[in-house]
Amino acid sequence: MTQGGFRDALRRKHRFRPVETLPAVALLAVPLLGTDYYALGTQVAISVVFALSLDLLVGYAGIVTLGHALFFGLGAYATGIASVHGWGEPLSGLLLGTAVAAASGAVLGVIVLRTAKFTLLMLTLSAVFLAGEVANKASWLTGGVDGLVGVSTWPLLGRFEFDLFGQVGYAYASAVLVLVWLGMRWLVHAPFGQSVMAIRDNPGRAAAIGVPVLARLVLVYAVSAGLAGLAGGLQAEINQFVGLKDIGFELSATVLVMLALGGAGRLYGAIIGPVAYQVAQDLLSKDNPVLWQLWLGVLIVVVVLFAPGGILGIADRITGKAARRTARRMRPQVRT
Amino acid sequence: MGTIIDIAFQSLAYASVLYLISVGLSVTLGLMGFVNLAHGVFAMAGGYLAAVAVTGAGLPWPAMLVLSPLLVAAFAALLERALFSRLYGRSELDQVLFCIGLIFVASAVTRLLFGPMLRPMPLPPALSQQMQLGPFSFYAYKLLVIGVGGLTAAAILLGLERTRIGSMVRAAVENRGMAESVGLRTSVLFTATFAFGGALGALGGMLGADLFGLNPAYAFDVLVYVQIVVAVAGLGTLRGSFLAALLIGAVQTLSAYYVPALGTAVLFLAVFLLLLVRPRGLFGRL
Amino acid sequence: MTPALELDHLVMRFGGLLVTNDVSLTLHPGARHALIGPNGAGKTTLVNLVTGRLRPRAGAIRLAGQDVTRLAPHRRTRLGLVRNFQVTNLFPSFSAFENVALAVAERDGNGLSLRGRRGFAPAVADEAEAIACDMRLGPIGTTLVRDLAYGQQRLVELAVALALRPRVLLLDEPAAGLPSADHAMILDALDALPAEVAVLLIEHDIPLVFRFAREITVLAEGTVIARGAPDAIRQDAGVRAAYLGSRA
Repeated sequence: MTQGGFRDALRRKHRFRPVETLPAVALLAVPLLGTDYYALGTQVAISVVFALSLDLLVGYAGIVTLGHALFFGLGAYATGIASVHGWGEPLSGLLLGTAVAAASGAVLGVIVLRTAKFTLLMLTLSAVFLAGEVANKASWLTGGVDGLVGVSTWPLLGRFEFDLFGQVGYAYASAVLVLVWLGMRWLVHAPFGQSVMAIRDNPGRAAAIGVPVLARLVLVYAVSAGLAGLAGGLQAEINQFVGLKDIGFELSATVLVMLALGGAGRLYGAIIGPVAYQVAQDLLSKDNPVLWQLWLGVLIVVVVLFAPGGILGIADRITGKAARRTARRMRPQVRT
Repeated sequence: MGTIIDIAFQSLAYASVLYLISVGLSVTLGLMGFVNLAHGVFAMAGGYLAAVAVTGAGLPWPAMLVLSPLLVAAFAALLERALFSRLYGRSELDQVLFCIGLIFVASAVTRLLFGPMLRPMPLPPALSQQMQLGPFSFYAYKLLVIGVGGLTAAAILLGLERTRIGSMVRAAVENRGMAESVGLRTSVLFTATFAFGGALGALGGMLGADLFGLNPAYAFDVLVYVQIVVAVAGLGTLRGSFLAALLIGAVQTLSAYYVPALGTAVLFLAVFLLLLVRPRGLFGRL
Repeated sequence: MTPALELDHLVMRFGGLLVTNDVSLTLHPGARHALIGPNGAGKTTLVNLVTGRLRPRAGAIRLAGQDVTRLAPHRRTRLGLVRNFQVTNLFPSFSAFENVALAVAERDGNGLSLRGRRGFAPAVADEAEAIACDMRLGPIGTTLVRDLAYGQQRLVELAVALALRPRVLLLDEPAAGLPSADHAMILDALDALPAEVAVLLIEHDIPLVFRFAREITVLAEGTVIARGAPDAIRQDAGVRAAYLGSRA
């Protein structure tokens, strides 16, 4: 290979593929289905933002966490409480939720990221429990078990009232989703993203080439927490309600499952996953949460055992095998 | 004085249950490097099995104290062979997801079979009375729990020290990769320890039914505490988890006694602070 | 001339066990120094002390005159202390070029950069490619490291180390696990190292050491038992007894 071959390879690896516009196309298609689908579409869009934030942590930085709902919940409560106390402007509310979650992420990150694996898992789990307990007890602030009622969101940009059909809510959530997605894509393809993946691959080696591993992971943790908070704030504003469920372990597990269904570490898994989750739920057990839990459990076990890498992993194996076979035939031997 | 004795007594009972359930988790974690978050499923199985056998089939409670762990051990061995063994060496994400899946299945099945309500565990009359010991009176059942917990702990610690297989397991837990080098047939060892951990988990789950309340989320309720015990003890130590269980039991009982308004927040905060100072736990070496 | 690396009376204990006993060592720029010793002599501990994985109980480590005894490993790397690893230790899901580019980017402090949507800035990519091609990694540069042959991975290790522009290069058994037929490949790469870099080679393979080093330090039971030119070490009776003798 001659000089410049690396640049070509990078261009090929990081180029924007036409397929990548599909999520945006899907977002535009929902209104064509009629007003019935706005609520569902909004919920999925929020889940995707949340799953994207988790992908940064799990897929790119290699930090498995069971406590990500903590940041979702913090964002939701921050935005919601501000609204209850008289500030319902949606954009600044979203910013508030993001900032609160990001700051908590930075503080928590300094503590938990010094540990690894099992202990880290346990600490994130404990953190989400602790937060749930606090939200439960501090009912004067959070509404406790009854949830935070009285959230009212002002018109978007001062002009668009959040309507009963959820049209404005859907447009709002979609716009936020597209921005987050573009931002994430930028982040992971930039040198910053490369260094984070390097840490995931081999933290000890990363330190040996001069990466301040802990500091960088804390930064990633804060960014991821902020985005989770953004998703939470978004939900609080659109649903005008925040409950204990939004800061619980179950939500943490659900979002992890959504991400794994799609495939972690590749952005689009975080987009496909929540959609697949919703579709599976509709197909398998519409109105019976217990049956859904059973099916979901079975589904997870099957995916882990037979399709690690989720839906995109399966797609990879189908397209990748064919591609590799032709590649091998075209390029005879590279071993020295 | 009476209060102190009472708190100590409650703490010991609590610690006994935690210890029983956590042994299995420490062993699988140390021996196979597998984070078995689904370990609480064995505790739940033990608890429900006993409750159903006593109320449904009319089997005596003491008999289930033996039967339940045996049955669950067989169940655990089967699960290990069929499912868990495929997950050793897989990514942490896969292991965690798999366990979440199992917990979901177990909890859903339990709910479908037995409903969402708390399941009562009828105790023999002899156990559900107060016992007088000098100036103090104790709940007989808790005395039994402490007795079983203490005896098991002693048996395990002695077994690890004195028997050949025990010292091998200990060496293997404390120094992973060691098992193979001393020629242990690891797959048999894995299944056996898994079954053993499952049995102890079932015993703990049955005894702890009174404490945690037997319900479809039992596997998960228990998991959180057991995980804390293992993390506080530190990885790669079997003796440490006994002391850690005592510590957690004490903190939990004390906070429930003096600051009930804060719920479990005190415990979680304490654990956070501890692991901030000692990220590897109290006795961890790994 | 300021020494590139100075170990000043280092002491390390694990429990009651003395593993580094008052070890001093000075490397001037351009040094080709080898550290040898039988198994358990404390070579790995010494490497860990120098790189900052361990803190010495006593003594000091200076890098170009600056005391780095209490500095974190990644800070030492930024000051020009670069190591490779005994066991191949790379970023497996990146290509050979990318492994080098990660090092280049980090060396220039661009690890946090958000500029460049193609992984690395063009200048970084070009420099990484040039370094890798010098190591004759050109033909396999875009292959993922995990798919490379072991010998090739060892070369990528060296390319990554070079990309960090070391002042001091710590080579921990660069030929470990390679058949001796492949040693020539490693030696060629070592010969091509920039002249001004101070190199400390920790190696088991005696022929390789004598071929490479201009000065040798022998460690046994944590203590320096001999130091000198290769010929002198070859003749040293104490070394033969402690080290070469124990192998025969």
